[in-house]
Amino acid sequence: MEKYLTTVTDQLRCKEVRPYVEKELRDHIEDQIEYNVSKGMKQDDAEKAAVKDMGDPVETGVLLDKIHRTKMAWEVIVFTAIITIAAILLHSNIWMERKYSIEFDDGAGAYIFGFAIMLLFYYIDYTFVARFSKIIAVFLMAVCFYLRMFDDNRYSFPCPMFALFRSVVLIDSLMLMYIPVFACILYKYRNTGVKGLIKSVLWMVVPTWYMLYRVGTFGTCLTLFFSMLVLISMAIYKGWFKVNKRVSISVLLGTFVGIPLVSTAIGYLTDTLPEYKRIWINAIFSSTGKADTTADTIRDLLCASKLTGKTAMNAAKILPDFDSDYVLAYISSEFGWSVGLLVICVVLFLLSIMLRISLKQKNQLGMMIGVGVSMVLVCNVVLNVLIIIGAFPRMSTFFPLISLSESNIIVTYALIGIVLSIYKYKSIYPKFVNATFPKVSIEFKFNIKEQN
Amino acid sequence: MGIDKSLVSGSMTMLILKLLSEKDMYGYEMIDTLREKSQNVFELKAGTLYPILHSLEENDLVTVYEQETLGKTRKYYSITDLGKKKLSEKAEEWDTYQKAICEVMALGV
Repeated sequence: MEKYLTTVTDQLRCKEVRPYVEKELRDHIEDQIEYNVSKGMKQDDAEKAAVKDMGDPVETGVLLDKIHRTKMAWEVIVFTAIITIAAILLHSNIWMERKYSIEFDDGAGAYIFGFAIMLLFYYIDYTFVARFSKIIAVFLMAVCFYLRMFDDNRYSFPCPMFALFRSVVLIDSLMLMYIPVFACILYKYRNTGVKGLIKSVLWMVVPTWYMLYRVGTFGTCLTLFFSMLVLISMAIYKGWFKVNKRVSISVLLGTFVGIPLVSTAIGYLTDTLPEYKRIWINAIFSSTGKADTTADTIRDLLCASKLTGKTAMNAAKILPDFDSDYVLAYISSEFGWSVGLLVICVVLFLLSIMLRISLKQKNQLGMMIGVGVSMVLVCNVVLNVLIIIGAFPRMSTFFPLISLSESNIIVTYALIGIVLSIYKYKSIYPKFVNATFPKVSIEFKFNIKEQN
Repeated sequence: MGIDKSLVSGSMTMLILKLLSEKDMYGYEMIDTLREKSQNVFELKAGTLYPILHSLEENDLVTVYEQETLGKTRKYYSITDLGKKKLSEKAEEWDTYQKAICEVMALGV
């Protein structure tokens, strides 16, 4: 039997699939042996007959190898490459128009470095990383906490390496990497009932609280929170926690969406809300954005933009962050609103491919990570567009791949790389894989010599 | 009775989907049921069955879940809606084919 199984699995070029195929075939042979023994055969003869019944191991292995091969999501790569080229052309155009007076080198470097990071993540096996998800989550939060400590005085970094790291890495961007890690944590809590669900909620609340009250970036906080809420609801819906689905989702949404919304509405109506919140709410419902100079400038630029072609206004001069947060307003003003709309559609199309790939994943861990990653980017697109059109108060967001922000560009590529890795193992991993922390056993051997 | 292998291999996907449309089964159970229902005409080798099952799963025609039966965790295959659609297409194709064969074989009788 062992020789048969080794011959079959040797034909499989993808090593990750071998244990799953071997287990299924072994189970089958054992069933056949049991049957043969029940018909009066001796154990050895029963095993030989069972193996003979399996057929040619090489033929079986070759057929299985054709099915279980790593795959490449070419659609994602092609669209990412198209958007990357367009973004580089856009930013080099800005660079030349401004007579090389801004630093484009860092931005161009981010695109190249980001593409390399995407390939690196493609080669990482996400099921292996899932085993260390809790450690990675704590480490990620610790790094953000540490970086935040020196934010007020950047020159007080204990070593130049940290200063360099902090100048490139934004805590907001780094925390977006928490979402795939959170998906792994949810997966680990499968079948643990209400306890697991409560623990999962804690893993959601802590980083959200940290981002909101310690770092103070509402945009990232909203993206993180909404993406994690979607993931937990999906996990409940898929029966991961074995709890009453309708009740649990209602309690979850009621607690984290219903109560804050109702209390804000009551506060607004009874005039007990802080002033900044009142301005935000006014901005949302008046569809004019937060009444400040930048929001007014964005609105003026959009109103002046033509179907195609440049407006008389100089967006680069009058709009702060025109090449990063408000790049869509700049594109609409410089090349026409149809180009701005086209950019949104192309990026959304890429994200829809990523979401489709993720939802079609047989492997539930991959599915959850992929949905989380796609949600992060979709949330940023939606928030960024809402802010640009003045339907949401201004806050720090980015338009994936187009906004010139080194940190966000690199993280976006990393997230795309994760989806590529998930697709790579599409035909390899079964529905559920082992994601438990590897057990490390250390054996101490003592040689006690007999003393005469 | 011995049957030419090429006659069977072309319709094996259809037969497996048909078995799964009756109830969810694991690999060994499928071979056993097929042998029994065909009165030992179809002696399907496990080495042939699993590549077919894995290919069906890859094309979303069947799904897989694990369940404990008689103290052993078994991998059960279940037909999907897409699989049921494929089965009815295959059955229709087979019906046309076998009618044509019968008509040709009846020539001159």
